[in-house]
Amino acid sequence: MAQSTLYDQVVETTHIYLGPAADRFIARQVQNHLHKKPEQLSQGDLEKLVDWIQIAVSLLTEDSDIIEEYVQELRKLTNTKESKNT
Amino acid sequence: MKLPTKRLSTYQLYALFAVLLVILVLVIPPHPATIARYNLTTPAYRTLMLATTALPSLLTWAAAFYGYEQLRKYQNIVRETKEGEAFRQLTTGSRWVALYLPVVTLLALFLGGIANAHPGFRGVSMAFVNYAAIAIAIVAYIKASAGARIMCDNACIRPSLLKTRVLILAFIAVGVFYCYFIIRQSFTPGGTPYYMPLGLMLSTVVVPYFFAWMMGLLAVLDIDAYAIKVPGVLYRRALRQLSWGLLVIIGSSVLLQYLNSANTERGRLVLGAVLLMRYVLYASIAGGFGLIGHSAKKLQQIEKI
Repeated sequence: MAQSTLYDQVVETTHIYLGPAADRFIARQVQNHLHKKPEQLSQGDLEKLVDWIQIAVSLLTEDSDIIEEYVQELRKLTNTKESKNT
Repeated sequence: MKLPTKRLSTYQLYALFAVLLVILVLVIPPHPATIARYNLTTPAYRTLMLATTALPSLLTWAAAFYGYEQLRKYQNIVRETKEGEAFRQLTTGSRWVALYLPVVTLLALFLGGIANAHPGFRGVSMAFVNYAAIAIAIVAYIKASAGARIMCDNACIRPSLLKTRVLILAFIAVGVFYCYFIIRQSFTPGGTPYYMPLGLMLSTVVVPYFFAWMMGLLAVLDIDAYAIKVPGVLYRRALRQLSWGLLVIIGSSVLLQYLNSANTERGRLVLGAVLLMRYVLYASIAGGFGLIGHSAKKLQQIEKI
């Protein structure tokens, strides 16, 4: 079975919060703020991407608990990769 | 040579309907029985029509066209996606629900005005307005229910059994009471609702209305299930208002049709309890479209940021 890419994992996490709009939302963030194609998303981009996502989601909701929870879930993807590398 | 055609925007259409409404109220011959009943002069009749019928109608239509326009914009954004077809159908349904309000009111005013001058035309005018209302309601609710079903099918979601049973029970109760009311009316002296024989009325008015209402209620049931079970906390929050908005609109429209059926002679001045009930229903339809507009704006934001 093909291993899921980092982009897929970010979309999977986002799906919990944005449902069917998750894929489109993340693709837009990567293209507009990182100026990359979604499939080119790398581990080094993740921190910057999470910052942009945090700003974007803050515009969608004032519920700081949800924003915090979502950002933490995304940061776990960074930690997972880092721990795998070390 | 093909002439260039330009479709009216939603708000231009609203303005056109608004102007037509004001013109009709100011020019149509007043209803003679109503003038005599309330002891009114013609200018007083027209002023009351403007205040009690035209103004609330204009406010409700404004909310309806706003809600529809926001949903249309959202549908435009997601038209190429998996949810695109569902929202296309839903938007078409909401457009017909929004159009139902001005089209039926304007038709009733126009044909009612002719009937005021030529009383022999009353039956034809009533039948035409009622069949037009039924046709629009059927198209609107079929489209809305088709969109809602596609939504649920795409996400492999089904409405809960309990809610389905409650809906069937509510529908049977509403239907039986409506039939009882119509049949009882038809046996009172001079009380022939819709100006047609009972058999014709049951088969060509009551049955199609039941069908339209059932479609509307099925749409609400499916959208409610989708808005509860679809993944995405923030997406669900935005969608929940859409489902509530549609629920309120369809529920209120059904009640309004119920009320209009009870008081079939539309397009004339009505005061008292009927007017009050109409205001409540107009307000809730406007509120429902407001919820849809707000929800669609939130959904647009998710797709734009």
